[in-house]
Amino acid sequence: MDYGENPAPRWSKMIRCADLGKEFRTWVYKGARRSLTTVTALKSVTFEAQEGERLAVVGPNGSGKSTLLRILSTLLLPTTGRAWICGRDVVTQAAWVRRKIGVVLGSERSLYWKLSGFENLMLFGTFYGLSGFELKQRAFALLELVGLKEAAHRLVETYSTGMKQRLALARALMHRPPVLLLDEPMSGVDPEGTQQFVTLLSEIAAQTGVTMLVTTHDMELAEGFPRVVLMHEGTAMFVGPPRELFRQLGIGSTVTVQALADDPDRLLPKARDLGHLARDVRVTWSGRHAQLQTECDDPEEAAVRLIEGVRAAGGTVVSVAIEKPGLKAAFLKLVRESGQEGAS
Amino acid sequence: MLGIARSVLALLWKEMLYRARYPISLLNLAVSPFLIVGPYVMVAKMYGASEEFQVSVAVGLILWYWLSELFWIVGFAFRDEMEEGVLGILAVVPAGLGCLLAAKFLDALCISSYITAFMIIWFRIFAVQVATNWAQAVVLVCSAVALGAFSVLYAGIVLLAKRASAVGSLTQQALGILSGMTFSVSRLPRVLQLVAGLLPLTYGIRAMRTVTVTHCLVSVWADLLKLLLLAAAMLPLGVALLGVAIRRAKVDGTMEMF
Repeated sequence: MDYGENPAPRWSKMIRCADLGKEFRTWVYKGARRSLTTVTALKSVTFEAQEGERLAVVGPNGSGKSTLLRILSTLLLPTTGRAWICGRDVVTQAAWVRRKIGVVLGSERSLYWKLSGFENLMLFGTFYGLSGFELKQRAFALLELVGLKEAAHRLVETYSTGMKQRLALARALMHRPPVLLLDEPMSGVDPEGTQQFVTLLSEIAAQTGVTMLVTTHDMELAEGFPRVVLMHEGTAMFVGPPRELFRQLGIGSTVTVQALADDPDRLLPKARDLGHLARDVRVTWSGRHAQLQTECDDPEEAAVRLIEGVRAAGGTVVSVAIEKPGLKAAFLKLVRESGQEGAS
Repeated sequence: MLGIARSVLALLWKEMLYRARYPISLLNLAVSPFLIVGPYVMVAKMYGASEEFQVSVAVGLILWYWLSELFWIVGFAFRDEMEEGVLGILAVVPAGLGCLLAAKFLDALCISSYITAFMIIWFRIFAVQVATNWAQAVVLVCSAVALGAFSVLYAGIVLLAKRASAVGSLTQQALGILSGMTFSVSRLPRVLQLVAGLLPLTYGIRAMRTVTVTHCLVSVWADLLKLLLLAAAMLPLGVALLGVAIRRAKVDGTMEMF
């Protein structure tokens, strides 16, 4: 399906946040008495996204992801700091920014349920100045792109959660925005639907060159993004590619090789000769069975070197397994370490 | 400008589609307003009130219903869209919340006209002849503009106070009584007469009662002027209040919650 490229002019930094902070004043109730308190949702968040980049803002509930997205989408005003979309300030030039962003807000109720999918797209397309044939054509093209062509004229209330989320995505794309802001777009969607949605996002990014910021609490899902912003208690703890985070934290992939060997004294020096690839190779024996295990940044190369080592020592490789590191483990380690730093 | 007009009409079309998809609500609007206001006129009829007096009460009630519709549709526009779940997304599209209010205003005019048509039919069935003329149409338009401006002001209050719907019915009833819905405001205590003087509905009802009898606009020019002056004062005030309310909702993060 050819949805078409964004005809928008290009900016090098499509999304930029500098020291962005947000505090909410809220009431605390104790019986009949109440008092005002301040809740900090964001603390000095700084990052940027280049043109065509796909960025996942990931963190547990309450980490400030949605607050960040709502500030970028002009729905919230920051308490401190500034943010820009395509080089324009989201506070002082909000009207201009709104034309450049496509937004999917968390709730599946952000659509008119008593209208059909097609009617929803027609309505929202009008808000962006589309009309006539172009409006209809784009609505149908997007319904086809998100797999809702058959359900185009059904009322949204009859859609499944996944269908509603896909319709919300189509709506966000109606005006071909250069920046897409998606808040938990996969919430409430089953694993299969989530995978389809992620694939769809990749296809759209490849086809349109849109810059995409997606918030999610699903760490596994975020691993599929080239760059992540790891949020915890309102702070961006890490911004960059997941691989860079694993490297910084010293979390490597685990390579496990099962082998059969007669002579441990010959196998050990050969198998442990991985040079710069790994810090350590652990070897355990059970009769003729040897298990070699190492953590490294380049698991494929390390596996090849281990296999070569086993063979050079006259052994036979039985199996090879590579376990890649997870963002969840990295996140927990990062939180633990930052907590220790804070305590010290 | 064309884009804004298209957005307003698209939102109005959405309102129409919603009504069409709840057909029972159209039946309700055709019948229930008369069931609410009919007894007032019937009581007047039963006690031998003159035909002029019956029509006077009927006209007051019809205009009160205009206020009622504008009040609930425009005044509570944000709350309704929030309940639908779309207020947040409407706040981040270029059309903006102003288009939403404009569409709700037009929708309220359509619905009020629909209710009025049925009310006149019902009154005629019950032998209360509400005559219609072009002068009434002009008074109606002026009243609608003034009541619309008042409703925009109320929409700002609702967005600021959030729980204003709790006093919505009370406000609507109080405005009806203070505006002389079923009697002349001259019957009110002096202090309340001063309050009545600040309400657009007071002048709308008075002008409508007069032109129903005289068929002549000249006799109500002062009331029409007051209506338009009130609209001119209330609209900028309402827009300013809305601006404050929207900014506060964006600071507090309460745009999507009531």
